[in-house]
Amino acid sequence: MSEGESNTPIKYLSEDTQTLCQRCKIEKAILISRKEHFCHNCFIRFIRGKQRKQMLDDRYKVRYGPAAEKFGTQKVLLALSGGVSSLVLLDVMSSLLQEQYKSHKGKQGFELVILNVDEFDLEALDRHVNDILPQLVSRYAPIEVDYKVLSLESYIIDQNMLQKVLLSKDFTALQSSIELDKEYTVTDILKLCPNKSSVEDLLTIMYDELILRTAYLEGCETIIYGHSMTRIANEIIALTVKGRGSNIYQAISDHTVHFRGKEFSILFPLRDVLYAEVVAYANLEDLKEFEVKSTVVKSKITKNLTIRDLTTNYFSQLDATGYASTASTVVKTGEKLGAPQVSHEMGSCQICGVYIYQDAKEWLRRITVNDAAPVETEEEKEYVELYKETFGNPEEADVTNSKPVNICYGCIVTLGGVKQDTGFVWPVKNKEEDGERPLSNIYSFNKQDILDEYILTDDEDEEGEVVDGQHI
Amino acid sequence: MGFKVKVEFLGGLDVISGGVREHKLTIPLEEGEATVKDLIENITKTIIADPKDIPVFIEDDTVRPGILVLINDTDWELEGMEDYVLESGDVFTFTSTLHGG
Amino acid sequence: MTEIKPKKVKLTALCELCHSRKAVMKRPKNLQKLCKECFYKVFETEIHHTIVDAELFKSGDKVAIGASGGKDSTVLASVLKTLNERYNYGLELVLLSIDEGIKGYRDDSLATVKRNQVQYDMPLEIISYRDLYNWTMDEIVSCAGIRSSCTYCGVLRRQALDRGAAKLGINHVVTGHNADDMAETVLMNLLRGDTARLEKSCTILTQSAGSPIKRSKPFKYTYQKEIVLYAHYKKLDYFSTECTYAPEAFRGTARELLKSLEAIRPSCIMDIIYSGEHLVLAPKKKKTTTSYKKNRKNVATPEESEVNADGSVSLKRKTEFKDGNRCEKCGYLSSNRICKACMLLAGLEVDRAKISIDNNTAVDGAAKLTKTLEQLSF
Repeated sequence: MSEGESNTPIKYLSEDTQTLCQRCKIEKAILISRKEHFCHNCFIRFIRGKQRKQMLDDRYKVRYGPAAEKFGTQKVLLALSGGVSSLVLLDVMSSLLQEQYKSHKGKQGFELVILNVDEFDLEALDRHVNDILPQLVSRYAPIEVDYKVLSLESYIIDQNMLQKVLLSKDFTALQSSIELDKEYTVTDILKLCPNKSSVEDLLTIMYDELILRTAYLEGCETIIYGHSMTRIANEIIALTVKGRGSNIYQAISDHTVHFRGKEFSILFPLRDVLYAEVVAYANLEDLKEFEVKSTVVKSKITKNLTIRDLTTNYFSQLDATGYASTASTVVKTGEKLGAPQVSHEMGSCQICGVYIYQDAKEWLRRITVNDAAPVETEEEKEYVELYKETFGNPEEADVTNSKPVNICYGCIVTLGGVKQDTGFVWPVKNKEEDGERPLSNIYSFNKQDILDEYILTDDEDEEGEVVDGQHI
Repeated sequence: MGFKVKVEFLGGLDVISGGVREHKLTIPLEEGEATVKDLIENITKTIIADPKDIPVFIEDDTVRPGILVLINDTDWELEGMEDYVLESGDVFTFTSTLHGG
Repeated sequence: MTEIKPKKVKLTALCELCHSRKAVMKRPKNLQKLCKECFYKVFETEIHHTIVDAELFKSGDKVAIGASGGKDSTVLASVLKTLNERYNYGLELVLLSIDEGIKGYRDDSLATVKRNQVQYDMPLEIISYRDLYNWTMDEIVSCAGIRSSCTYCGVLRRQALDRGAAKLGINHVVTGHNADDMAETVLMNLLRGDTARLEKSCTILTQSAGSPIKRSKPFKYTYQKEIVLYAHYKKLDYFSTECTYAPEAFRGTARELLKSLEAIRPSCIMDIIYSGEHLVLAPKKKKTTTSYKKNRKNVATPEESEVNADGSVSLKRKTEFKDGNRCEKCGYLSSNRICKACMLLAGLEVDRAKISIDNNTAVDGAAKLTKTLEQLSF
């Protein structure tokens, strides 16, 4: 895809440009961003400044005295996919830690933990993220960055939680227990999805929860995502399209989430940085060599794409056609949104966990009539009889062992079109107790494992002690 | 060799065929061998007057979203869409659902 | 079209509701395959539900159908007539058409509306921009350029419909805006950051600031595709040509996006509307809470300054139309000193004076319409 170097919000200046940087007025400018000429260092500082502004809270600063006691050791979990944005976020965060380290004699405001949910097979990536991690992390010495790699499969904590879910013609979702003659993997579940956009939607739900679980296990109070402004705008439109508009105000704002009795801050520190600026930063800081990409070229045929593919393409087209300011407009609009009114208490969705503001199935029933026109002629009556003989009476479907699932509009849409015979399988959130199942042994790799592989003969390292990345 | 089908352009789509709404089209293939894909190709070659109008009708090698296709008055989505096998005497109706409401 | 000789219908090709007739269409809402009869039934019943749930009409209401001759308003006239008779709404329905003065576009469509008048046995009133404003759209475009044609036309048509309705003693105009239009509006409001209108993107019943005329959209939940199919199967007489003055480029991009999205997930039109109904502005942070609570719905627009390009504001339940203000220029009801139409036209008069000195009618512009309206009647 042409991320269009020419017409995007960033304009690169040619080597022989003599214009000076408007910030330092010393160095030669190398690019124009937001109508301003920047040199290399000033542009990097400019982008880093955007993150600093988003994380001004005391808990991310080096603390002394009472403040130090109040906050204890803060840990920040960074969700890293290996894409440009998360690499840039890592770089920006590490630079902050390095500055703190320098000016506070080796002290730092927080500890950084990287979490990667392994998408190697799913997205057909060109390499494993855990292969780049040691070298990537070593860039930021003497800062120590811990990392964990999580298999998507760990989303299913316990096979006993899995329920068969079916959506009836009148939009009621029903769950029933499944015969455990086989184990379901996440991959199996995704195969039951009616289309690619549904897969994409469910993956988002899984990633978010896996990241939360890791934050819980690692004692991280803060979770940060690398979403650029462009990505957040894209997310706002995609949520709208998926029927999840009521959740925009939460999903794209810096907010807190309660999970297993703890509170987590979720932040998007690059929310003021355009995607084109993220790419420019990655180029300037030599992060591109670490970028992990899919080996599959995105189809050009609309039918093969997902909702997020289409909205992503839309925003890059806007960038290229002179409507680049749209992303910022959309984000500003999204940030003004609040919680919709609730007519009566609906609880949370048992599939994705969001708060439900309106009975979605009632809404859908009123605008989706299922009454047939009268059967009149003899021929028509014969067809009805023939149909019943062959397929059984559709009105007598077996729902005896089923119980209803509280489901939000977005999940009804995602499950729409699931085949009635196979049904859908999901760890339905039934009781609080599910939320208390132990979350042990979820990592497929952590820093220690990877280091162990490097130190083949010398295996005397003590358990539990984290070895600094630079020692490799 | 070859058989005839009827093609209609409605909902203002006749702009791409010089204002003519109904066309008799000879498909230069054996009956049973040609699909809607061949029909579309044939339409772009023989009916669409101005090549600039092809994108009004085609996108991603198929009929553009927003154009409703009926095969013998039945939604083509029920007939296999591009893979429907043409029969002699079939009527294909292309209607723009875009604005002008 | 002649029915095809009775072949054996495969059981899998039967309608999913009645299982007795061959399915002819696939519903974008839920991907159901339906026969013609069941399609008519669900199509009409859903619109009936929409009308009843939103309490759009009372028995004895006189309602004007904004009729363009295009598919949406033609189907609207047909369905409203059917429902009015079937469910005894007790409505008196009137066709109200606007002649914008666009050569080759409006001429033909008005001919269609005139046939509809006979077909549906409804009175028809045609109001022209030329009579009302002493301008045709063609003249406006030649003066103001094609870029803002939709803005002009939108404002002028709105007021023209209002005035036409008012003259006929009607306070409710229904329009053929369909679900696809609603979804497009939701996206456009997000993309343009139009927070003033965001919350009301999906309001079914609206009322312009300073106008006693209500507007509603009974097709709010009706797919464009189904409207076209309904018109096709019922062989309704409608006219279809794109307006000569194409929509502005940015709206075009949103429309393209929507069509692509619909191709991969047909329900997305409904999904966007559902989202749109749940887009709510958060309370403003700086505002004092007391004044905010008093007037919660109006957070975004505390004063009624919000006459945007199409002049719509949401109808607060039981809001009384505040009488009194009239446009100083044309004398028509307006919340501002000069109504939006007069303001736009005043700007144009300056240009027209420059362009055609011999045809200088800069005197009264929209003011002329008060006189014209007095002559309107059935």
